[in-house]
Formats: sequence, structure tokens, C-alpha cells
Amino acid sequence: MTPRRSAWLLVSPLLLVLTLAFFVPLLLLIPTSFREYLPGQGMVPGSFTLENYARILTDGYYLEVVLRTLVLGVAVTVICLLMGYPVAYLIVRGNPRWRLALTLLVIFPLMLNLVVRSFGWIVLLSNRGIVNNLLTDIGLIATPLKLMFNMTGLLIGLSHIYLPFMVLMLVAALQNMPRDVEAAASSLGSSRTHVFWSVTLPLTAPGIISGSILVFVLTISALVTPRMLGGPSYQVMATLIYDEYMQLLDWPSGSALSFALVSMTLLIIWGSSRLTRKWAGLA
Amino acid sequence: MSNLTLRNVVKRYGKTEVVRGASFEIAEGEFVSLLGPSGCGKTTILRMVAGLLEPSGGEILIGSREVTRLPPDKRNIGLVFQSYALFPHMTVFDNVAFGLRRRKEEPAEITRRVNEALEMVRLSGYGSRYPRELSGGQQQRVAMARAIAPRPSVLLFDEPLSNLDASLRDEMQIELKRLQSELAITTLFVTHDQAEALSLSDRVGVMYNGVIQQLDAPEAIYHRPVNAFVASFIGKPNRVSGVMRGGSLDLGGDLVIRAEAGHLANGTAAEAFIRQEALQVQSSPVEGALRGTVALRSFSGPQVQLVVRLGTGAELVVDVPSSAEAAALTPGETVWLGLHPRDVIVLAKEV
Repeated sequence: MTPRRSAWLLVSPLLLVLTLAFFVPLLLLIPTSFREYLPGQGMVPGSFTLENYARILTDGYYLEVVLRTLVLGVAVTVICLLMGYPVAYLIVRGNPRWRLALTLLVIFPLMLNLVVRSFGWIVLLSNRGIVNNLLTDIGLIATPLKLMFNMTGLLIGLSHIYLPFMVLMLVAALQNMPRDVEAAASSLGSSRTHVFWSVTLPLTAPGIISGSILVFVLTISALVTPRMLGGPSYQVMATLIYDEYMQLLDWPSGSALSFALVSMTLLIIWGSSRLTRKWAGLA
Repeated sequence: MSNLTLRNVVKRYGKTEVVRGASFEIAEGEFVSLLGPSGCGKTTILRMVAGLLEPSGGEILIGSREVTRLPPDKRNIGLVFQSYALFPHMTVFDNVAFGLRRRKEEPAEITRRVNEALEMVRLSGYGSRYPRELSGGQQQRVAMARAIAPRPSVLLFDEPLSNLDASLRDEMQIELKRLQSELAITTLFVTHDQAEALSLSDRVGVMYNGVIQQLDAPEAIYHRPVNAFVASFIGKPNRVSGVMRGGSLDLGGDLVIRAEAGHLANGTAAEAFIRQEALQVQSSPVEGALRGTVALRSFSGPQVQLVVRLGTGAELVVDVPSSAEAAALTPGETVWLGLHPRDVIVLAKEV
């Protein structure tokens, strides 16, 4: 058998599942996204309209949700990166005795159900939740802080949930980085801080980029946590798509939003992989 | 430029001593190699001199300045690694300029000295390339240019040629020797390749088990090893044991190796180390030669290697030029091995 044929055979089970369960339904959604929708009657068969897409860019409400999703994605990514890099650095470069404990600490939340973790945040962040009660009791605040049903709640919840992904990607990047290069820099008169900024950071750029892509994509497509911490009114694209399909039965609009989300994701991945190549000089 | 001094430098990991009290001095402009099998502590010494490892004891001086606990960036050293360790995200020019920029040199001066360094390693015109666009040998030359450009007090090499293939390695050896003698920078070179150490260095330190066994000129290391480890590690000499009798080694069975070892008392158990090229093979009896039979013959181009079995059962390996008469000998033939007493290294057997 030629290597090419055996390669095809090896990927064929996955390809079959992907084709039947992913590509075909996705293709079927393309015509749906161009159909007209009449409230009370549903989809008009055979119709063609660009209205569903136009609305995303013109309707103030839709635009706000798209923007909010993007801001959320960028903010969660930045928070995860800023909080994750020191942890990853400590895991790889710190005392080997802490390595296992720290790694477990990072991975442990992944073993809990997403709903349970989001619910935990509700218990902490709600108006009469633990955080607000504590702050009121010690007299720091008079009225409860609004920590849920807004950007704050989503940022806290999603950063917590996606931090492990970022840390694991950064740990891999730091482990792959040759130590000799840092030693060479310091022998040339570069202080520890300068070594970090001029060598360590650029050489772990591929890990930073892939971790960021992962966290960004997971954040903008997250459904459960935004729904639980944002409630029914504070919408992001994923919750909006869900509502269009399940509550309003407006499939054309839901499909158009889905494609908008997918295009945004692909655009970000394409852009950042170009950036990696440029920045790190490592293809 | 200055000399490098180590005084009783020790490195311990828990209870294991990796380096046990290394003391030596490298004179200004001198090229010293540390040679030894892997795990002997040679790289540990280099890393302590570089400041990448902290010694458990002792002190290190560059010139008259004590640097034992200083970080690498405060030592004014140049480091060249086996892995090249170039900055992959910078051009060749930026790699070489890195150290100069850290010293806040004027831009014009940086350009001048980078070009000078690149010229020295014969890579002029490669400044705008990235390391990944260069061959292994070229990358290592960039690493050397990067190390010498800021004019360090001491140059440190950690097996710099081990990643290169054989022909390139020979070429780079010559290049390195030329470069070092032109610049006359104090150099510590770590390697496990004895040919490399012997041909490049002013002095070679043979290390084993965390101890520098002998630090001497290459010729002295080769011809006058101080102990059995050095004698057997350098080259692959024949090694036979016997008892001392009147300055010669008695192997038993009427076989005596004449040597110049009057300092060893009669009856002392001793070993003789005989270089393969020191033995002359003759097919007729000669006064003082050892009688034996050819057990094996193998041809390797310029040389024929003969394994000769002596009456005692000991075997000696002899190299013969393949054009010589003795090269035609076949297994089973009786031969006489002549050797000059001067070429026999006799050392008391270590307990």
C-alpha cells in the first residue's frame, strides 16, 4: 500500500464522522441563512435575502452583542495570558518539588463539570452572594456590587474556566525553549529581566499565540457560562444564536449569526498565525 | 583580556560531589581544554566559570576580580555552546550585535565591530540572514562571532564542534585555532574528543570522576601520563600487567618488557602501557623482542591492525602501515614485537 493510501485509511473514521456530523449540517445551514423569516409562519421556502447578514452589521442590538463578544474574547485572553504566564513559568522553572502540586492545581478545575463551576461563581458573585455579604459585613461597601449579569461576571467566570488551557499551552512552550539560548544572552551582558523580554518571550511566542487563539475561540463560542452568569438579558453571540434557534425559532437569523461567528474565528486564527511567523521568526 | 583562576572549586548535588576541588590557572591568552568522558564534571566546571551554576565551595577569579557569585551578565565572558544557541528570531547581524548593544556602544561602532567579527569567521555578507537559513557550521561560526564581538576577558567553549559532521569538524578546528591565536583571548574549552583537545590546546586537563587527573601540555599528556586513567584514556594503548624486576616488567613465561622504570622497586605489581604505533613487527627473532603469534588481522585502508597473542595469553594490538612488509602477515604466523624502552609507560598498579 502506498503511504498516501494508508494515510487516508487512517484518517477515514474521523473524516466520516466529521463529514456526516459537521460538514454536511454546516453546508445545509448556508441556504438556510439566506431564507426569509416571517414571525408566526417561519422560514419562507425558496426565498432569498441578505437581510439576515445585513442586520448583524446594521441593527444596533446585534452590533452591540457582536462587539461585546469580541471585547469579552480579547479581555479574557489577555487576563488568562497575564495570569497564566507567571504560573507556567513557575511550573517549568520553579522548584521541581512544587511542579506536580502546581500542575494539579491548574488541571483540577478541568475535572469539575462546567455547570457546577459556573454555579459556584453564582454563589460567590450574586447580589446576596458570599463576596458581597463579606464586603458588606466588614463595612467596605453599603450596597452590593454588581458582579453578575454584566461584563464583570463574564470576565471572572470565563477567565477562571479557560485559564488552565492557557497555562498548559504556555508550559509546553516554555519546556520546548532551549535554555542555552537564555544562557547565551546572559553571558553577553543581558540581565535577567532583559533576557526575559528579548529572548524568553519572543521564543515562547508560538505558545502564547496558540494559547491565545484557543482561549479566544473558546470564549467567543462559550454558551453555558455566559448564560448562567449573564442571565437571559446580557447576551453574547453564542447565547443569542441559541435563543434565535430555540426560543424564536428564527433559523435563518441564527444561521447567519453562526456563520458570522465562524468567520470571525477563522479570521482571528489566520491573522494570528501570520503574526506568529513574523514575530518569532520560527515557522 | 586576563587570566582565569580557579581555587579549590567544588560542586555538590546533595551528597554527590560532581567536582572535587578543581584548582588551576589559565594564563592570559592561553588555550586550555578540559577533556574527559561524559559525567566527569568538565561541563560543570565550565558552567561555574560562566556563572550558570553556583559553586558549592572555592573561588573563581577573572583577572584579579573575584566572580564566584556574580551572575553571567556581570562576568564579561563569551560562551559558545554545542547547540549554537543562536537567537532564532534575530538576524545574524542582530545576533552578533546583541552583546555590543548591551554595552551601549555607539551604533556606528556596533556596525563596525559586527562586520569585523563576521569577517573574522568568514561570514561577511551574511548579516541579513536568519540562523535557520544557515548550515550547522555557519551557525556555529555566527555563535563564535557573537561571543568574540564584545571582546570578552575569557572565552568558554562547551563541546562546540560535537554537532558537526567529521569533515566540517576538522575544518572548524583549524578555524578555531586560527581565531584564538589571532585574538589571544584566554580560553577554556570543554570536549570529550581527545584529538580535538590535543591539537587545539596549549594545555589539556584530563578529568575523571570530578577530579582533574593531569593538566599538562598535549605532548606530556600523551607521552608521560601520570596515572592509569590518563594513560588508557588518551589513545588506545595496549595494557599488560606484570611484576617489576630491575627496571623492566616481567610478564611471566619468560616474557620481559624492557622499560626505563628504575624508580619502581623490584617485586612491585605494575602495568605497562604501550602505544600501538610504538611496536615494530618482525618476522625473525630480534634481541629483546616479544615472541607471539598473529591472532587476527584487519585492514582499514592506510593501516593494517594486527592482534598478536603472547605466550602468557595477553594480546597486543599493533598498527602497521598497509604498505609495510608486516601488513602481509596472516593469522597463525609467529612474529617478534620490538619496542624501545623509552616508549613503554610503566605505572605501579593502582589498588
